[in-house]
Amino acid sequence: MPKCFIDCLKSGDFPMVRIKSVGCVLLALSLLVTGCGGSGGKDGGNKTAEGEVSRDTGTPKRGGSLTILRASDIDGWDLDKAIQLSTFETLPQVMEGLVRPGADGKSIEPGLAESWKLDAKAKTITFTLRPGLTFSNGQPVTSADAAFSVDLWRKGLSLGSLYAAITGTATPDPRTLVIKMNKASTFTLTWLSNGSSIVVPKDFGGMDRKEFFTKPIGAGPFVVASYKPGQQLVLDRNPRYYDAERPYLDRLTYDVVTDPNQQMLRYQSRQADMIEGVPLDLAGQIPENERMPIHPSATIHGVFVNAAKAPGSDVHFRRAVSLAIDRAQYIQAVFGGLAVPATGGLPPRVQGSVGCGCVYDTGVEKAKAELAKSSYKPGTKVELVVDAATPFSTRAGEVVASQLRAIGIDADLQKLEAQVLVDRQMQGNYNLSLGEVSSVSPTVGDIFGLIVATGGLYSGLPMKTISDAFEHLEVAQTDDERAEAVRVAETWIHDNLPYIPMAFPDRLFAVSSKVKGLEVTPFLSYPAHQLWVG
Amino acid sequence: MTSHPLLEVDGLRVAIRRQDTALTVLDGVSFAVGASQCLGIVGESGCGKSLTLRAAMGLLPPGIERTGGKIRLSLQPGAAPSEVQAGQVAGRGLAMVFQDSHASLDPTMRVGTFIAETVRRRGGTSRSDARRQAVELLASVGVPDPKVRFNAYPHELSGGMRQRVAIALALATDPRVLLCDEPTTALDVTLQAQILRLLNTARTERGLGMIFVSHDIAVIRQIADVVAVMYAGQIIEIGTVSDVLDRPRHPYARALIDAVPSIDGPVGPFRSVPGSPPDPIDYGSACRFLDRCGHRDTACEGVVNGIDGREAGHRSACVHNGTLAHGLEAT
Amino acid sequence: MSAGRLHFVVGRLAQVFPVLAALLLIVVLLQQMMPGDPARVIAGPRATAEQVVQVRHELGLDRPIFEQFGRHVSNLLQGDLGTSNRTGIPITTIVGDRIGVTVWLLFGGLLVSTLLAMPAALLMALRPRSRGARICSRALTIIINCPPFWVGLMLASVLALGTGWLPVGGFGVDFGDRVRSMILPSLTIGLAVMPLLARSAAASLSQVLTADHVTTARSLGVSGWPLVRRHLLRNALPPAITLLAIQAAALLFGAVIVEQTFGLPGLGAEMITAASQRDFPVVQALTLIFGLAIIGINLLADLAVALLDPRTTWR
Repeated sequence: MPKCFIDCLKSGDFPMVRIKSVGCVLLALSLLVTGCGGSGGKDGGNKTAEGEVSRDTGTPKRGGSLTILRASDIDGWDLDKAIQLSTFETLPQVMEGLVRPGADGKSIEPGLAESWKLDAKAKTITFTLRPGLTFSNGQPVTSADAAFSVDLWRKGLSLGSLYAAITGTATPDPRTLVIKMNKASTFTLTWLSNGSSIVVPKDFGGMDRKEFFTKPIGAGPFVVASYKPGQQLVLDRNPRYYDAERPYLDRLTYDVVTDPNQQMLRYQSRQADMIEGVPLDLAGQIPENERMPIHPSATIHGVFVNAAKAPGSDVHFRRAVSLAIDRAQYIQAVFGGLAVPATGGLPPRVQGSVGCGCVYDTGVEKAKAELAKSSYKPGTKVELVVDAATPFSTRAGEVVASQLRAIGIDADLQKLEAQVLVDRQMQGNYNLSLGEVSSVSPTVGDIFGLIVATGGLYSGLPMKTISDAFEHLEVAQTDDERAEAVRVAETWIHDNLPYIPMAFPDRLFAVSSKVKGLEVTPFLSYPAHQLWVG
Repeated sequence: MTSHPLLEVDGLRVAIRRQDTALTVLDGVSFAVGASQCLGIVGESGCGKSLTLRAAMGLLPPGIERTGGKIRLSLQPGAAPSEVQAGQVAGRGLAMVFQDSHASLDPTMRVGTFIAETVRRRGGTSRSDARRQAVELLASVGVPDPKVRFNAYPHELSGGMRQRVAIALALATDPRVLLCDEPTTALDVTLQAQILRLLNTARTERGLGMIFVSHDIAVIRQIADVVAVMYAGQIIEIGTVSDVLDRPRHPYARALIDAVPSIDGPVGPFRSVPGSPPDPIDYGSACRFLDRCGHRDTACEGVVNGIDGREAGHRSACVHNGTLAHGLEAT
Repeated sequence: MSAGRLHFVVGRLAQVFPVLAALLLIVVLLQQMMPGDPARVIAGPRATAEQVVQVRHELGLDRPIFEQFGRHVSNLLQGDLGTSNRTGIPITTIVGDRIGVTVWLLFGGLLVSTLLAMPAALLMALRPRSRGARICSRALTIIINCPPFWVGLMLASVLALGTGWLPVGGFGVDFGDRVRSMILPSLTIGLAVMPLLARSAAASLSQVLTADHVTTARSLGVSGWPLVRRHLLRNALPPAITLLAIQAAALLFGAVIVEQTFGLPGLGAEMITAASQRDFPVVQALTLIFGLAIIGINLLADLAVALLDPRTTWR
């Protein structure tokens, strides 16, 4: 069974076809709804998965270097601090994990472990490490290092709970690591491919944790040549990497540039070859054949509702808000078409993203009718708080506010600084707010944890159904079981609206013709050892 | 005036330039000053006496320019005065002493250094030589401890001391004529006397010509040989000190002199001339004192101009020219 | 130097310490009052409430304010600026890395603004009715109304991207690179500060031009450049220097904007990042440094004025 399991995950077998067909329906819907050919970048390559453009035209060549721009630096090398997607992307380039995410964003591939098998009850995973593995400093990688690392993940500051199924490890021999779980958690196996599950030397090679994570050593394709926090990260090829051919690049440089205009200038003057995450309102400044959209990304963009106090506590009010939002119009006005209307409350395009087949209806008359059923008194101010930082978020706020006012909700738009906004959300000191949450791994399960931890994305509604659904998801052995669990959660979200999903936004990378071999997952992860200079 | 005058001012006209119009404020002023001679100029504020000096020096403020007349200066001892351009005489033949010494000395320069630099500007003096001469000059104007005071800043000196320094500066340029614009007005009587004495000494010792402008008749009496009375941009009377101050012929001059209270005269009402001088806009060719004059009659309707101060003798611009009765009806 | 001036210098130097202390106290208090929880920022949205409390404890943020302030001051006196809450890097390292950029920028900006402002001021003061002076005045009005980030963007787009002679941003590695990368940012910040400097210097010069002591100097035959140099400038400089020192705050603020616009890794950019992430130790340390810089600039200006004007005394 294990071998088939892997094959099923890797190839486009029956479960995958099911997911693919759902995905195609989603795509078709989105095309219909947006009424245009979709965002740019569909030319200049062949399509592999939905919206992704493969750039594998030619044979990879060894050598060369690339410069990539990001708007903010990683959160640091310590896995405890991993919050941003860029951190999840970068950490494993230096400290590779047991497994890595597949390019389709739903499957896993061998990393430091060349193979794995589950026991009959699927409560134990036995990983076999590759032969002759060494860290970049020449020290061999053994199962003891892996076991030490697993312990670190379990004790992680904010993500530790996602490893809760793991009870312990065993290391029968230097190349074998056994992970013992208290349930048959298939979720855990997929989750192990996320970017914070990094393998480090046992006991940090004798250093103290803080010291180790200023100059981390791993068995990944790259080593840290220099790191100026907040400014620049330079990665050099790891000559001791287990794959003799890769990485193709000699050097990979990440420059932190916060100002979007400066990013554009550097890209256009070829001081940089790629931009991770171009703000959608600047998409037009990139030539079409250099735009790589991740369409859509594994992100939910929605209205968060404080359901702990009036008027958000009334489910009719929440439904009225959902009906008031014309998602198609919203996507056009705010995203310029670079998004897909939300068909569910969980992110799309990762393992388990099946939705519920529910429809997020819209219509002014229906909204007004629903509002009438609620306890909302017309004329009561409803505060909508948004991030003041970008024109994108303020415009989004304005569109939502105007759509709410059109049905008679007196929406009061407040633009707040990012931390003030977070503070208000945490303390339940708001009515409505706008926000986005993303998956960080190939499974939809990691978002369950976030939703539960934040009380339903700051709604304050009871999360029992969601946590119960997660428990089923965790141990689902087949895609059907997984889909069933997710459907329960999605249906509950649709009926109770702890938050109102509006869109699945695209993410946009600017990729010059010099960059080859780029494949980006819906959670913005891309194997950097595959990049080569064209 | 024997031999050549040192300085000759011929028909000086000065106007205020505003946009495209020019408003004449000095109307054909002419006078001359000879060696060791002091010409006093009196008049009330606004009559143009200070402007006359500044015009002669080429130091008119922005917006005011010389529109006519010539200035002639005798550059060598014994030479006849030759025409000079404005802006070429300052510091080279003509020097000026100002009224307000507080603001008129550069606060960032030590006084001795300033004097020494002025000496060096004449040319041909070494730095140490100039220093020595500066110290001598300070001594000659009566500054005690000149070697110490050499290094003083203006704000460290008293008013009287500063005025002495100003005189030393002027003398440092080795001028032919010294122009004094109310230099004692801001000083108390004792100091005043000292400064006047100092100026007199400088004049006689160096054979300088001097023009002394003041509104204080008593001071003029002390220092001047010849007095010119100015009114509304013109000289309206000129003559020796005793002539003009004891026997004024022009009704205005008479009123001016009578207005000075005397310590040993009868105590009576303060006699001032009613009204005020005409606005330069209203300057015409008729007698400018007409409206205020108590002796107006039909003869005054004639055209009257200011007088040429270079001609000898005691003359006045009034058509009645001294034939009026002494005294003035108080109105 | 006379007693009065010496007195002034000593008094002025002594004044620095109470000002600095007040600055520190204000910064600490302000940060306590700011909404936003640094522990939450570090722990992330998935952390539980207990985990956030744990982080807060590790950062020492649950201690009373005065204990935190006391510890902060005692560290300062030992030369320790603290460590960044977010990255754990000692702040002295961060400052050391980034201060060079900011100093280059400020120096370049000052150079550009002085080089542009002085001739303009001289022209407007000495030849006020000439065509050149009128063109100058209008140009200054236009410049003062252009926001620095726009000017920077335009310069970068046209002069850097358009021609390829200069880099569009970044600091560069070797000396030559760095000089080239500083040209446009210095120009941007210099243009921002220049109009006020030119206008105030011109006003100061005009005022001095009609001053009595200038008339005296002219009456003694001083004219032309010696007059300007010796009697005008030396008297006109003190008010201009004072105004420039007041502008120092504007210069630092402009530096922050220009660093963002050109992607320069300086202290200003760091300040913005740290403030938005509620990294208190970094914000405090940088505020201290900026405050010291402004205090220092004002001190230097006052001392320069004391040097130039012998009438200075301590009141």
